[in-house]
Order: sequence, then C-alpha cells, then structure tokens
Amino acid sequence: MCEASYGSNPICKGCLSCSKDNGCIRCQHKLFFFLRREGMRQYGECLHSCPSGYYGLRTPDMNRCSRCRIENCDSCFSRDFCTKCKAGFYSHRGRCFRGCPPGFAALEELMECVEGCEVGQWSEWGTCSRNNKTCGFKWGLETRTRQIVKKPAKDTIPCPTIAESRRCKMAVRHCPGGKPRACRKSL
Amino acid sequence: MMESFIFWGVLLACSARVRAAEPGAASPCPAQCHCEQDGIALAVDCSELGLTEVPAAPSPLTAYLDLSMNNISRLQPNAFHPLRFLEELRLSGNQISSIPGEAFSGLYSLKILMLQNNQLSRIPAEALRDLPNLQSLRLDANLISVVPEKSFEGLPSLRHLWLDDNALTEIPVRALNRLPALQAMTLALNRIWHIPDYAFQNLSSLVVLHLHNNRIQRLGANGFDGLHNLETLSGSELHLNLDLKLNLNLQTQRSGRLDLNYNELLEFPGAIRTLGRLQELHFYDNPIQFVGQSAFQYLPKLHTLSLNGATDIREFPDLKGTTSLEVLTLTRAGIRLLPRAVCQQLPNLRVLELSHNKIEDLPSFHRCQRLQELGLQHNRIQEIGADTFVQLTALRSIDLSWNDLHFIHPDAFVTLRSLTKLDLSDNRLAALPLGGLGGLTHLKLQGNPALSEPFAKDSFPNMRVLEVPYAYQCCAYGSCGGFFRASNQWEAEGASPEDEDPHRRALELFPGHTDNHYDLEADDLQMDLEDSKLHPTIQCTPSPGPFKPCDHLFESWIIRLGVWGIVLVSVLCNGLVVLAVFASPSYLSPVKFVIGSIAGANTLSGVACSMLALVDALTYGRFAQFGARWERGAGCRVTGFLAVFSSQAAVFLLALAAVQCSVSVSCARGCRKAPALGRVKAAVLGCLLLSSAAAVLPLFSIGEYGASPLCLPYPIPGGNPATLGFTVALAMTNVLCFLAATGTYIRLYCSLLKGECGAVWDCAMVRHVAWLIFTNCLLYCPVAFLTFSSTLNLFLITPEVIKSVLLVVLPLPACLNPVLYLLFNPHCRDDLRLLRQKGRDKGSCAQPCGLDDTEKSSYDSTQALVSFSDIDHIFETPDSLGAHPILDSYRFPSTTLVPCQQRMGTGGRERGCSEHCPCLSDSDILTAAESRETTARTPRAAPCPPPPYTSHI
Repeated sequence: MCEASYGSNPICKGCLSCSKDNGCIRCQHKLFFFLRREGMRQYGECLHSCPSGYYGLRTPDMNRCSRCRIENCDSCFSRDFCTKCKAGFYSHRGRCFRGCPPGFAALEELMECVEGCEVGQWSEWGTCSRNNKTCGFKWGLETRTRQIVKKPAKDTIPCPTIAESRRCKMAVRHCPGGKPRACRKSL
Repeated sequence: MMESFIFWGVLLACSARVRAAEPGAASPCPAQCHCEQDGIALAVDCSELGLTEVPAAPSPLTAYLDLSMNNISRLQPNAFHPLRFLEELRLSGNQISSIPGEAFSGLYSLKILMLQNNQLSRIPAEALRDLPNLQSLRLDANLISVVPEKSFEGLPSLRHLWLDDNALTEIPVRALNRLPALQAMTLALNRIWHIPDYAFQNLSSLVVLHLHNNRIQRLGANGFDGLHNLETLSGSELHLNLDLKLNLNLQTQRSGRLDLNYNELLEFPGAIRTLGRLQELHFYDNPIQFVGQSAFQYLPKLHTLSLNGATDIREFPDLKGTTSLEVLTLTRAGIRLLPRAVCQQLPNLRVLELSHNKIEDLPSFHRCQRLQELGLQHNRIQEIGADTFVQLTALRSIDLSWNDLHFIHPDAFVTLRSLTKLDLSDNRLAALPLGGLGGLTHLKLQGNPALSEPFAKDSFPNMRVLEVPYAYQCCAYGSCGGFFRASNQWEAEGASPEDEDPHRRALELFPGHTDNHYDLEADDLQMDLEDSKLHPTIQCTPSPGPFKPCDHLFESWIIRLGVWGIVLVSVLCNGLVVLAVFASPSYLSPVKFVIGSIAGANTLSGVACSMLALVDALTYGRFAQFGARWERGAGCRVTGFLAVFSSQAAVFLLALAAVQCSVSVSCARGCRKAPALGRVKAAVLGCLLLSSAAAVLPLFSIGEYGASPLCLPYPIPGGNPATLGFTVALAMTNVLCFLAATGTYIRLYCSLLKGECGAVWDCAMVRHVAWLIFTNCLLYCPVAFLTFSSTLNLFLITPEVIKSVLLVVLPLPACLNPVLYLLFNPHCRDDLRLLRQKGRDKGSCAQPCGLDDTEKSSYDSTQALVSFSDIDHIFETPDSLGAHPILDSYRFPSTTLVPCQQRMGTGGRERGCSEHCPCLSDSDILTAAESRETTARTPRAAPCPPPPYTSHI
C-alpha cells in the first residue's frame, strides 16, 4: 500500500520544535511523535497515524508511535494486539498464525482464524449389522457418531465427519433357527 | 497496463461507469495526488495537499484512499459512492465536524476508516449505518461526547474501535452492546467517571480494553461481568489492561465519604474476582492507598500484577491461590518485610520488582527457581547473606542500587549461573565478592566511595557496560569511553538495564506516565545492537581523562618541571622573605608585616604544590593504582586545604595591604592617626581566619577536595554543582578583593599625583604592593575565566588546558610574589644585609654587642631606607623633580628618627617617639598635634606637613 513515505530529510511539519539534525523534538497537539531511524541516525516526525509496524499511543503528556511487538504483524492496536497480520498469516485474537490453532478454522478471504465447527466425543461403536440384521452373515458394518457441539462461525466452514462405520465380524454367524452351523464367536 | 486496466474494468461489470470515466482513465489519478498501481487495485495518496474537498472521481478501482492532513471540513453525500472496492479510507487530520448520513454509502468493501484528529462532536451514526465489512474504526482525538444508541448498529464486523482522547463522560454501554465482534477497544483519555454494572456485557470477543487516564471513581461490583462470562465460554485469553485512575477528590472528602472511598476500593477487588481469566492487572499512579491483605488471593490466571504508590501497604499481600503470577510489581509502598513463604506461594515468579519500599532484610529466594529479574532498588537492605540468592540459576539481573548495603557474603552470587546484570550503585560497599560474577555484562558500582580497589580485566570476560566508583578502575579497560559516549547508540546501550526492568515495562504498557519521552526506542536500539554485535570494547564509566589520569598525575614533563620549579622557588624565596621580614631587626611596618604574611601564605602554596609533585613522583607510571586512595585520603584533604587556604589568604592579605597603604596615606593627609601595627595584626588574623573558614568548607562537603587527584575544589568537567558553587563563590570573593585593591590603589595613585604629601610615602612599599596587585590580578584572570566558563557550561578549553592552568598558573603568584620582593624591594635588601650582618656579628664577634648592636643596625637600616626612598622620589614623583629642598629636609628627620626606631623596637618610651613620627605611634591625637608643631619646623611649607619618615606606613 501507499504508506506516507518521507525522504531522508527531516520534515518539520506538525512540529512544535524542530531541529535541523533531529527533526521534530515536540509535536503539535494530538499528533503522534515518531522517531524514525536510519542506520545510526534518528529523527522525529509528527504524524496523524503511525506508519506500518507501529501503533499510536495517546497519553496526557505526549502521543507517540511505538513498535508493534507481535510476530509477523503489520499494524497493531497496542503493544500485543495485532490488527493486521503480514501476508500469509492468519490473525486470531490479536496474534498472527501461520496455521490456525486447534479448534479454529482459517477464513481465507479475511485471513482470519474463526471458531471452527466443534464436535463432541465419538459415541461407542454400534452393533454389527447388515441389512438391518445382526445375524446370518459373517461380516457386517458397525457405526459410531458424534454431535456438533457448536456450529461454525460461517456456513462455509465445513464440519468434520460426524458418523463413521467400519467392517465387523458378526457375533452370531447363524441366526437362531436357521441352518445349523458351528457358532463362532467374533470380536 | 492500461489495456489490462480497462479489461478488468469491463470484467468487473461496472462497465457504464468505467466507460464514462474512460477519458479520465487515461489519468485515473486525481490531480496532485500520488497513485500507485497494485495489481488491478489503485492506491491513491492525496495527503497534505491542502484540499478543502474530496477530489472528484478517483478510479472506481481504488482500494486505498488517503485524504489525511488536508483542510476538508465537510463531506458531500455520496462522496465516495463509486468506490465500491475501497478498503481503506483515511480522513485523519482534517477539519470535519459532522458527516452527513450518506457520506460513506456504497463503501461495501471498506475495512478501515480513519477519522482521528478531526472535530467530530458526536459519533456520525447515520454515516456508519451500512458498512458491513468495516473492521477498524478510528475516532480518536475528536471531541466526541455523544454516542447515539445506534451508533454501531450497521457495523457487524467491527473488531477494533478507537475512542480515546475524546470527551466521553460515560461508557456508551448501549451502543457497545451491538458489537459482538469487537476485539480491541480503547476508551482512554476521556472523562469517564464510573463503570456501571454489566457495562461490557455483550462484548463477547473483547480481548483488549484500555481505560487508562479517565476519571473513574466508582466501579460496580459487576462492572466486568459480561467479559467474565464470555471468557469462560470462549476459553480464550483476556488481557485487560486496567489502569483506573481512582480520584479521591476533594468533593467526596468534604461530604465525609472518605471511608466510602475505601469501601469502593475494597469493593474493587471484588470486581476483579469475576475476571477469572485476568492475566494482567496494573494500578499505576492511582491514589489507591489501601488494598486489603487478601485482595489478590485466588486469581489463578493472573500473571502480572503491578501496584504502584500504594503507600499504606505495609505488609506484603497474601497471594495464596494466585499461583500463576509471573510478574509482580509493588513499588513505592511501605513494605518492610518480605515473608519467608513468598516463593512458596509464587513458584512461577519471573520478575519481582519491589523498589522504593522500606525492606531491610531479605529472605532466601531459594524457591523462586524461575526468578529472572529482581528489582530491589531504593530500599534499606543492609546485607546479602550466603543463602539469599542461592541456586537461582535463572536469575539474570539484580538491582540493589540505593540501599544501605555494606556487606555481601563472599558466596552470595556463586551459584547464579545466568546473572548478567548487577546494579549495586549507591550503597556503602567496601568490597565486592567476585565469585559467580564472571558472566556479567553489565555491572554498576558507582556511588560506593569505599570500593576503591581496581578490578582485574579477566574477572569479567563478557563485560560490556561497567560503571565503577572511580575512573581509575576503568584504566584496565582502556580509555575509549569518551569516544563511545559521544554517540547516541551507546547512551542507549548504557541505559538499557533500566529499560528492561519491569517498572519501565509497566510504563510502556501504560503510557500515561512516561517520564522520559526520548528513551522510547532505547530497547529497540539495544535489540539492534545485540544483533549487530558491535561491541569491540567495554564501555566503562567514568572514563579516565586528564583529571583521572591512569599513568601519571602530571601527564607532561613541562607541567612536571613547572610544578617542581614553582615548588622550589616559592618555598625558598618565600622562606627568605619571611626570614627577611620577621627575623630582621629593622623596623616592622604594618605593610611589611602584611607582605611578610603574604609570603608566609605563599610558602604554604608551595608546600601544597610540593605534595602534589611528591605524589606524582612516588606514583610515577602507575597512578591508577593509588589514585582512588589518594583522592579519598587525608593527604589530599590536607593538600587541598593548604592550597585553598594559602591562595585565599594571599588574596585577602593583598587586599589588606592595599587598603592599609591607602588608609595610611589618607590618614597622613588628613593628619590623622594611621592604623597601628596592632590593628593591622588583628586584621591579618581576621584574613587568615576567613581564608581558613573558606578552606574548611569543602571538608564539610560544600565543595570537595577529593573530586580530582589535584585536590583542588576547582570545577573539573563533570564536577558536581556544590563544588561549582563553592568555586564560584571563591572566585567572586577573589575578584571582589582584587577589584577593591585595584580601586583603592587607583585612588591612591590619583591622590599621590596631585597631592603634595604624596611625595613622602614609602614609595618602595607602595610600589611593591602595586606590583603584587598587578601580577596577582593578571595571573588570576585565567583561573577566574575557567571558573566562570564552567559555571556557564562553556568548556571551550580542553581539560588538559584546565589542568595545566590549575597546576601551573594558580600557584604561580606564590612564586612570583617573593621574587618581586627579593629583586626589587630595597627593604628586602636592607633586611637581608642586616640579617647577614647580624649573623656575621654573631659569628665573628662572640662578644655580645647588646643594645649597641641593635641600635647600630637599625640606624643603618633607616639610613639606607631613607636614602633609597629619596632617590625614589627624585625619579618617581614627577612634581618632586628638582625638589632638592625636599631631599635636604629629609636628611634631618631621618637621622633624628633613630632613637624612635629603637624605642619602637624596645617598646619602652612611646611618647618620645611619637614626637617624631606621629603616624606610627599608638598615642592619641594630642601627641599627634604636638608632633605637628615639631615637624612644622621643616623648611617645606605644606598645609599639612608630612610625617617625617617615609618607610613607615
């Protein structure tokens, strides 16, 4: 973006007192004092909003720009709350993440981590069955489910699967009254 | 580029508009503005152009529009209507006082809206009605006092809200209720006076809340309830940076509610309790005086607690159940004792800051295994035991400055493996155990005058910043300090240990109370410097210099030889003068007595110089080893005392001599009695007392002898103000004395020019005093200049020059005065001759010559004197040229004076004496009148006949 960029010369605009070598020393009311550093040199500027990587702090005595201390942060609200993360990072509650923390889903258009779909614990596996019968076959399917505890913040965020099944051996191979065979216990 | 621009424009189905704007699309940038293409989006910067209106028709693909720092006072409805892709709009620093309802309509993509530094008096609720994607809204530094209930209704995505530096008196509870996505908000710098119950109930996502610099007096018990509920539901963190300024203002005190205030304050922790997720708690600069002993119990998530200035806290608070606490700051309270169990309650403590308390004794911090920083400055700690810091392997920095420490157990620091910063400045330490301090990078020891031993360089292999009591201790580390201090970076480096302490950190968090505005980036600098590994040498302060020499006290042979020369000449010649004046049997006139006293004082100057010269010779080549001991020792004080006493005495006595001469002349002219020797003696005694009083002052710490190894209380660069004041006072006195002497002398000279009586005075003595005044004045000029230039902070001259002035020019009068006397004063020759004669007489004729001897010698002396003075008159006084009668007339009284001389010497018959020399005697006016009659017989017809004897002033 087009940040207000100044050359290497100090700009005395908005200053209450200004020196040739160090730029602004005091700022006009309500302006932020920003100490720009260039190598070993530094000079003051008076700004309405702090440049990227800095946040404005208003105090009764003086308003000044301080550096954001959050990793991978572009602009911040305060020392440790980021409002805009660097490109490629997701912002989440004032921090910047390469990948969202567990339980949160990445929202690509906003580059944000939002509350993801929260699901409960898996239930116990159900009974092994096939064609709604629990006997008469060697193999069947058993199912378990879980519930959505909290819906995601956006509808576009998918929820994880809430039901899964697996193959199982039936406990009773032959239904009672069917063709007599040797009963085998299965797991 | 342009083709792709049009292509995208078509593609984006705003064809009609874009085509309409196509002629402009050749220059999509408004006049004067600065534009940058970023993909298909456009960033338009129209800041600081003095615009009074929003420029017409920026490209519809503008994503960023900066109109800040212009003179826009009103926005037209639909001013930004075509800019449906605009994401950031800056209108800060304009004169906008109201915004019409339709101003921002159509800005569907707007994410950031900056309206700070304008003149808004109310929140433009209508204009903000439909900004569905707005995330950040800056309304700080306006005049907002009105927040309509539906202000934020149309801002469902708002995450960050700045309302600081406005005129709010209430928390806009209802308006805030509609911001469920709000994550960060500041209401600082308003006039909010209370926080009602459930004020933030609906701010379910709030992470940061700033309330500092308000006038909050009351906080409802459920003031933070909504926040609490939300936090427990969402399970995320809450950083509530609370800085409530609780004003115990006069009103409440008048209405007898002071106790209620206490009640409110006791209620306050109750509100905190609901913030189970509270992690940081700051009460900086609140007039909270009392906090219940159990106020901070059971806050299991609290990791930072800082409480500053609660002077009524006498006991360390019970922190049971607040086990996560990592940073604890309790400064400017009245804590006397740290409980032994403090570390058991706070196992996670990382930073403990207890400065400005009254702690006298430290428990063992053995169990605070994670302790990294410990701030105990400005307490009353006297000793550090062997177990105080035992096994604190994480401890990195200890600040024990401004205590009463006089003993540190030799094993106190042995187990501190991580210790890098230690501040022990301004204590009473006499020794520092070096065990365990090998890893130090910062060590401060200044202000421990008894700690004078030098440190070997290999004791601190990693040292970067060292501050020692004496510059001599820096000698081992090279003397590049001056060079490095010149650059800002190193200043910052030097200041870094303080910047890292938690107190400063609290300041960083709560900027309402920064004392020093310019250290703000200091820790940045520190960080950068650590990265860049720019540490070729150790920065050791105070750095050695000409006034803190490492090798030789006198750095050059010129000074050394000069000082030795001064010593020899002043001691020998002054001794000779003293001998000539006091031991000679000739008449001791008051002026001569004063001259003799000056010589005595000058001898003492020589003695003081000789002491310095001796020290230089004895410590030749290794002065650093002895410098601190010499400065602190009695020798230095004696030297300083002698130097100041002698120079002051010389100046005072010189003034006295001048006054004496003048008074005698005027007495003689007015035919009154001149002050007698007894009174002059008393005056000399007064002068000596005065100068000894001046010289004693630095011993009572008004001024300081030990400030430099020269032991002179003269201002050296970087000296303390008391010394400066003392020196200036001395210089002023001396200048006054010189002025008085010169003034008196000019008057005397004038009167001698026109007065007829002038011819009769002892020209030799008068002239000698004039010479003395001239040389001493001249030689005092550089010293006075030095003093005043340092008062005005104009060290135009290098310290080397100052040093040579102090060493050579200051005592130079002491060596010139006697030389002048010995070479040019006839009295001296006579006295010496008399002395020699006397010695020869004593030696050759063993026969006691008795009375005859003295009589003879005194006769001789007067003969010689008178003849000499006559010649003087012939050559000196212009109006006596060709006045042979005068010569004749003087032969007579001079011979008649012999008995007078002798009588004066024996002190027997004063009456007879007074007949001949009225101005000398102690007798009364009557005798003086008689003498006038007798002297009236002289051929010279003067209206007031001069006293007959010239040399006796």
